[in-house]
Amino acid sequence: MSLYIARRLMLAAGVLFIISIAVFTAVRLQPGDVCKIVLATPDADEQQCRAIRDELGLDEPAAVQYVRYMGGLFVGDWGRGYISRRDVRTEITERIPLTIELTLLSTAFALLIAIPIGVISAVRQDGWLDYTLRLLTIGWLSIPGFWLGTMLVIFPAKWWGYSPPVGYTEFWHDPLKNLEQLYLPAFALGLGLSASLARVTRSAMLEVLRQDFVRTARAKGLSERLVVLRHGLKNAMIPVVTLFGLQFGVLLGGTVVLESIFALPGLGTLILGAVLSKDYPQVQGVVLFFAAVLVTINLLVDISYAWFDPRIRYV
Amino acid sequence: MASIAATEPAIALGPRRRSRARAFVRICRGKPIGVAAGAICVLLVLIALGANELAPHAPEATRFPRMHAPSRAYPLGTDNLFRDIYSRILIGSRISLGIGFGAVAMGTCMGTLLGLIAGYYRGWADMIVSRALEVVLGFPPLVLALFILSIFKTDRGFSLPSFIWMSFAIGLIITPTTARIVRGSVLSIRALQYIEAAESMGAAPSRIIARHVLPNVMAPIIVIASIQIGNAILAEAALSFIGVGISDDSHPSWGKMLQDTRAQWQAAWWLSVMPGAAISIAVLSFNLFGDALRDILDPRLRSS
Amino acid sequence: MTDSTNYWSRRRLTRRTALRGSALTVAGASAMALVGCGDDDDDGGGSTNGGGQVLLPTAAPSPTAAKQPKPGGSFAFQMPNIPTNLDPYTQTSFQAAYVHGLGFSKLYRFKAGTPEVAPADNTMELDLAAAMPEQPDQVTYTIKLKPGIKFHNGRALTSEDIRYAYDRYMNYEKSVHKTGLGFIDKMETPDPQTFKFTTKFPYADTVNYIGGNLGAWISPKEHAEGPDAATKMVGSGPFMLTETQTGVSMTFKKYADYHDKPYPYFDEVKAFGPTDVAKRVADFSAKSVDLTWLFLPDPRDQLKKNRPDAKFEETQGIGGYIYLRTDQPPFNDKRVRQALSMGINRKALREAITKGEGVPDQLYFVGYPFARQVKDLPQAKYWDFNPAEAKKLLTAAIGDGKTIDTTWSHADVTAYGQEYLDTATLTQNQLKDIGFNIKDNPQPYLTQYIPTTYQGNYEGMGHSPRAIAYWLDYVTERFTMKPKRGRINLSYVNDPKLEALLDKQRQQFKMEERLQTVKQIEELVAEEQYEIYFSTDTRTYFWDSAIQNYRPTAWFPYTHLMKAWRDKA
Repeated sequence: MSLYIARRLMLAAGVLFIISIAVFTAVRLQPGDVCKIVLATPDADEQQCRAIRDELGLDEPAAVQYVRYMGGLFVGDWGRGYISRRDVRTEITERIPLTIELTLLSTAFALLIAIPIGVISAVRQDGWLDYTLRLLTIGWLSIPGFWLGTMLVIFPAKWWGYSPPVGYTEFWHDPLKNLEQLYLPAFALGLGLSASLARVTRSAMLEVLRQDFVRTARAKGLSERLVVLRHGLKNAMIPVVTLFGLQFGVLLGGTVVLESIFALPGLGTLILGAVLSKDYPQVQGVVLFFAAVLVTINLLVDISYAWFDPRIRYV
Repeated sequence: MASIAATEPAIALGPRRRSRARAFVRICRGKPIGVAAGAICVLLVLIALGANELAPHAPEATRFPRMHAPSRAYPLGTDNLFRDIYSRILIGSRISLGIGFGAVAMGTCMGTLLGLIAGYYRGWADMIVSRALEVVLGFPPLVLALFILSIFKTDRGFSLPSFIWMSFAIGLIITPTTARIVRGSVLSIRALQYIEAAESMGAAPSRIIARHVLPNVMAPIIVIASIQIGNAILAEAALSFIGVGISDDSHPSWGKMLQDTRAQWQAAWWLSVMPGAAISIAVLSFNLFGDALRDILDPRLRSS
Repeated sequence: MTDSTNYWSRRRLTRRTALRGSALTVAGASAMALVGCGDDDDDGGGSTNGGGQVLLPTAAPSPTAAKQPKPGGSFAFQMPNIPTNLDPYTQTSFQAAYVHGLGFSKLYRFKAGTPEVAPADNTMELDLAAAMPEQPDQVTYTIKLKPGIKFHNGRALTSEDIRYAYDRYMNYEKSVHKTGLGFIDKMETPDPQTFKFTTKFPYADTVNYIGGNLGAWISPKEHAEGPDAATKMVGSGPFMLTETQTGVSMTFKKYADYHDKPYPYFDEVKAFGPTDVAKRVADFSAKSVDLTWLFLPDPRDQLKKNRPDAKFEETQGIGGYIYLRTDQPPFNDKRVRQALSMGINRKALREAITKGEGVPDQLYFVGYPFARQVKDLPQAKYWDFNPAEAKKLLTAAIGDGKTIDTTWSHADVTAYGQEYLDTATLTQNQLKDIGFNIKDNPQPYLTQYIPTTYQGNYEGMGHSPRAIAYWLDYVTERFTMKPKRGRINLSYVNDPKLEALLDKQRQQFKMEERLQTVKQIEELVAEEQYEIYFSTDTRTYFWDSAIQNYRPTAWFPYTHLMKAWRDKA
């Protein structure tokens, strides 16, 4: 097991390395003179430009720039935004809690919606309840999150004079206010995921319920509820976890849209603003950070999967 | 039965024609929703192809009343700039479906190629392809698309390069899924004896892939592609909505229509509902159609 | 412009006249902020009492003036954007200037911002200065500072800090205000409380410039040259910036040692900056914020419905204009420019963007008390929508049956909002009918529009919100080709006759004389159509009825938040 983990760790590190090179190269491929972007004037004189290129280290060979950048990442110097002139690391670390919280909260919503639906659907397989629920989930899979999010901004305010408190309060300062600020975007973000989770839960449950040990449990005279929840659901969770690992990136990407609709100061609004203003040190920083998170999550999912199901390791 | 047909692609069609017709009837009975969804998909594609002829007005024409509710003259109402929403949604289907298909075509081609290479050659090739896919999977999909577009899509508004970059950005997102499924199918086919036989007869790998492997993985490829179209449409709409899309005044897209009128949603419900419904109907139809196709073509992919 | 107060007290007219009147008051910069505009020129329209009596019941000073101010509490408001760079020396963004008013001080400041002053009244009152300048002659100014003023960092503010700041505005390499204070010749600091300077020529706008919002804030040397110049504000203003969440919010705390007692009243001021109108409407509807602003008629009506209890004031908003390459064909031909103006259906634009409201036709000197209406000008016909005449002019200029292919560059939606893009879209559509094939060229605001188009590097035409400044001489910046004088001559105007008039008016201290010159400028610009003007929209501010002693201003509302307080009763 530890050998497997070590191997996976190495691979993940390798993937991150390639990602960092890809991002770094791509950013340098973009057309346009950085100096003009920074100074926001076309007739910046040569001297000013040189000062800026020096400051940003743009005249050195790409490999040197890369090594310096990566070295900086490890000692906490992530660079400064061209446009914002802010320290990228501070900017990112300030915004991590919100985005993580938003993803976790939307995961919670997704699971809360998906698992009951999936289980009921499986237990009532091919009944009218099953059909209704399946149709419902596939229906809301087709609702764009940004549309739902915008509706949730506009109409509660119109009908009930309600909108969540503005801005962002950290959880440990005021948990209730914090949750109130996040639950609407989290719901809009989680709904799409809940649809696919519900479908996987249903099929995994069906699979499990057909298996011998479930039949045995039933034969032992355990109540149906106990069979379904204790034996069925527990074993059906593996594919659900896998799918969740795969979908985590979708959630993380979805924060870009929902944070901007709800004007939340998370990583999503940071990267969107940076992309629109072409502030590449920030774009680079956030993209790398997202990649690191996602690669780590994928790693954890792989490891936990192997842990649940020892056969995986040898494949 | 369709998967049987797929494994024996070279068999003559003559006597099968009637059984195909019968099969079609059977499918219609067994999968009424899937068939209906398929019909809507076909209809949507036809609408997109004939949008210029079908739309009663030019999408940028502004000679109508402002924010007029849906009526006989303006079936889906008009927007805040005096434009006919019905015409804009019809024309908008060109970008929404165009990117949907373009992205899926690109993603499927890239994914199939990678999957074939990984599954057929195994070993190092498999290793490299797997790492490459992990690199793509290391980005949140929307962020990856945003990143690519911010760097490479230099044109604003509608243009062919923008269209291609947009398709590529979304196509790249769906590549890993396709590649993984193709790789899995190829691996299982490769273990079959007739491939070994062909190899021992000295057939070139490219020939084996083209003649024996590819036809046998077509079913999962078609299934996964059809399922991905809905996702691609959603992704395009989301990217348009956050302002990195490819539409302009005379080339509207559904996501952009929603973004442009947000300040008026409270005043005129049809501004939010109509383009939103267009997106949902398209995504729903392609999802249902893809599901049905999966059940029919490739029951193995069906986890239940 | 000094008589604008009288001007206002004079006017109690019908709504229609009042609306028109709004065009005549001194125009302000506030409106731009609302759209999140951010750069030097685009200060936008003045905020005046466009609604006439409509808002008087809510904004009237009478009931509140009697009440005793209650200090303390927190105040939350929304602005269209949180500025990303706060250094007053290198920023011309009006977004930044709005919050500069909380953290920094100037020698003088606008009087507007409380109920008794009209929003667009550009009268100055004392800020750091203890009195209005002593002027022994037309070029010498001696200004005494109030005693005991301290910066947020505890250091005493002296006349040397003023000299340092002005010097930095004029000479620092990255300063973007070099031309603004260009009228100053020599500066002296005879003692720590006295600041003295001479101007190169008699300059009529001195006080208005140094009390204005651009290139006048006093940021001390240790902060301006420190590492935090862009991200923090260490000034001597009523509030101290304590926290910034980029793009989302700024938190200010009361500065206890503020020099102008008893202000500020609020303990805390929070600025939130969602860019999106729908979210701003929702948040104010839900009473999440106390003040929100710059609403066009559509969202204004939604808000009125959602918050019937709130106070509001409708102000003259933003007027856009088209600038074009008058140094190159085809726009070097006056007839083409005139045709362009006559090919625009301004009424249709108003209906689309502002429900038909707003000031229909605008001249260059919009917003000033003396400004004439287009209809009173000999050149009025160029504002008419007259495609037939436009085509005739075009035919005469370029030949029969020919069309003009050109480009229209403008900033993308993040800068000025959807309505600005909508205007461009509709106008391009209209101009197609008279023979202009226009390629739309929206550009990212900070990285393309500002560095290229907005510096004059563009082809064909460009489009920007309207610049109307609180100092009359602002015009010279627009139309002069003289180096070190103008900052932006986007239309490449090179007209010696105009240039001479511009030079003349800036040295005329007597308003009546200056106005004669201004009239000549007005007619010349109208005849030549160096810039093509759109209508001006209306923008509405909403604030909670518990907030006392507040009124929107055309001159950056936020300095004056220090005078506002919350009536808890």
